[in-house]
Amino acid sequence: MSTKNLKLELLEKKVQILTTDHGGAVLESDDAIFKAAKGSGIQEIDPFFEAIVPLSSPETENLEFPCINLKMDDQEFILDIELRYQKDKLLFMLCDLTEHYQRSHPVVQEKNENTILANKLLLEQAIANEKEALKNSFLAKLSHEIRKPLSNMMGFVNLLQDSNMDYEQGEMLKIVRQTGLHIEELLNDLLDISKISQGTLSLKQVSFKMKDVTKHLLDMFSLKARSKRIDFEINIKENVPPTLIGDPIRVKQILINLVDNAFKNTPKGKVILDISVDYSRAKKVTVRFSVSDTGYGIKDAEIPKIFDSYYQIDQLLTATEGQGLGLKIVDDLVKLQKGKIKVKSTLGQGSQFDVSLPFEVPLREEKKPPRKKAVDVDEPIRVLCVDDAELDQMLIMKILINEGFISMDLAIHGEMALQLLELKKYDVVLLDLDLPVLDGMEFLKRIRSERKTKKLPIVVLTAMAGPEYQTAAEKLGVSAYLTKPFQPKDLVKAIKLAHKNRLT
Amino acid sequence: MSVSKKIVLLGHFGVGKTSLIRRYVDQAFSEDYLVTLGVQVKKKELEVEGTLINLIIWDLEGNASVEAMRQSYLLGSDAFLFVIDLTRPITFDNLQQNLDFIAANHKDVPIQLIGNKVDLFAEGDLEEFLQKNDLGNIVTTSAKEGTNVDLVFENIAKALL
Repeated sequence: MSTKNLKLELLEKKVQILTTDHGGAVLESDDAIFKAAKGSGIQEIDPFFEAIVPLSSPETENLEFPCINLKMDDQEFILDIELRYQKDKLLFMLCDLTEHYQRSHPVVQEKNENTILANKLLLEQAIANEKEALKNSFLAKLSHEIRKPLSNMMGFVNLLQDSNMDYEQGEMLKIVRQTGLHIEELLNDLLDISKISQGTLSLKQVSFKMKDVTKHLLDMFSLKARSKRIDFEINIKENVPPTLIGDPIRVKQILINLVDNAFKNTPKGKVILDISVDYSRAKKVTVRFSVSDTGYGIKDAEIPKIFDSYYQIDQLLTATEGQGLGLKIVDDLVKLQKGKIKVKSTLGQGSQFDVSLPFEVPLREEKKPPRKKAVDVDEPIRVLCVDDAELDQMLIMKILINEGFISMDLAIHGEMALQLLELKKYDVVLLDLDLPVLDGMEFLKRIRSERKTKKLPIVVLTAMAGPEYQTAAEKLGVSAYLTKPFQPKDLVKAIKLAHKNRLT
Repeated sequence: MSVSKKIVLLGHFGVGKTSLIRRYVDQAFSEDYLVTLGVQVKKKELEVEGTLINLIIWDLEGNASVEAMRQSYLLGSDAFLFVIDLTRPITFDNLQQNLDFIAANHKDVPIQLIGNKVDLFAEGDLEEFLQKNDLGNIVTTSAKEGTNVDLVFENIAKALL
């Protein structure tokens, strides 16, 4: 058979020519694809034709309709259809491309299904992110709101402790204080969780000594170990570099939470912190901190859930002793520092938390700056306290009066403070940021622009705990940034230090 | 006396155009998504105020942009049903652009906006969602449960009389 004939034969099977009158009655058909009886209406074959017959007119050009699905006697066709208007008839050219289109069907099906799935996942992710953001902003606001009244309460509790009370009252006050400290701890944890989630918690990259970290832990937990009759050991392997570059505050926070968690879950036996090197090359080192205990242990099924904040909150609501949000913070902080955390546990025998954190090692030991000569600061310090909250003013005043050598004046907003600074000389300004009339930040800007007060020591004492406020205040030159609730000794220390540094 | 009217369903793929037609014409529904290639035309007769109407319903392959579609499919349309999937915002991201294009190229042809898959919404959430997404002039449907499906086609048939 010649190629020409082959081609003709192929086309013969695949192409049907059909003519109708202008009303759609079939005049002729070669029935190559389907049968169309002469005289019957083409509209009866499929409703598609019912819609296109009226479209054809002398004005229309050829009408092309690709990929038309037709169903006839349970047989499905996918045709490309062309309709031509002629003076005395309509000419339909039907090309059977069923196989061609059906072959492409699975590809389109898969592509569309994947796109729909991706859309759904994106939407779910967006909803989850929105919920998380809402939760974090709620937590941040909540902890900020509770911080203020708690600060007042704790301040007066601290003052009460120094007053004359009988033994029973003293013991009861101790419980009030402990409960207050626990609430404060939880608030700080909540704030940390929201800061980490919002990406506003920035890590420091400073040189620190591992021994300082472990000493802090020993100081913190040795009393607890004695009172619970539990052994507490810290073992540092020799190859752990004595000085590292990283964020010691966050390292301490991780270890405090892990050790605290171990103590909470260990009724007898011991809690051990082992510090070793996982990996070391040139300036890089990965340090492993293993906190193990001989406590209750964790069920296998519970292990994946222990770092979840909601799980922890559930525990808080049910457990008699609060488990806190510590493990959630540990997990977040480890991830933030690009570290890893693993948990091994046997029910009834104890748990082991392994945290690996990357650090840098300083090439040379940094030389200590020469110690500054001590200056006697036990002389009257004149403090101007700028705070609009009456309870805060009373509390601060009582604390400073107890110190004896500090005298204090009060201003309830920035404008009043500026007026007082014109009239009198002060050694240190104690400044709240959230003030009426002229707020703390504006006040800072104003006094830093005046020659007379350019270097006046300022201690900020505020409930605005966000790092953005602290950074902004520090840029304007403040000696210390304390957040409410605060410890009286921290306030006194900050004022003394601010004054001392001015003298040197 | 009977009249034929061409109704075209438009919208993104996977929004449920074929399912809506299947529910209306065949009273059937399948959970499985089966992609439509090209065009599939179905017919349904209904009587409105004593007049027999043949609805010739064109089910078009899903496309995010009406402008990008083969325009011969839209020739001679008497009404458009533009279908979106209420659970996939991407299906109504460029809604106004599509509606404007149809209105500009098919003057005086009514367009009804349809929000399908309403069965996946809780009642209170739906109103807030429609308001938030500026979807006031919409009829919500569920091809799965049959909600408002007949109503949509009947209303458009009435409007065409």
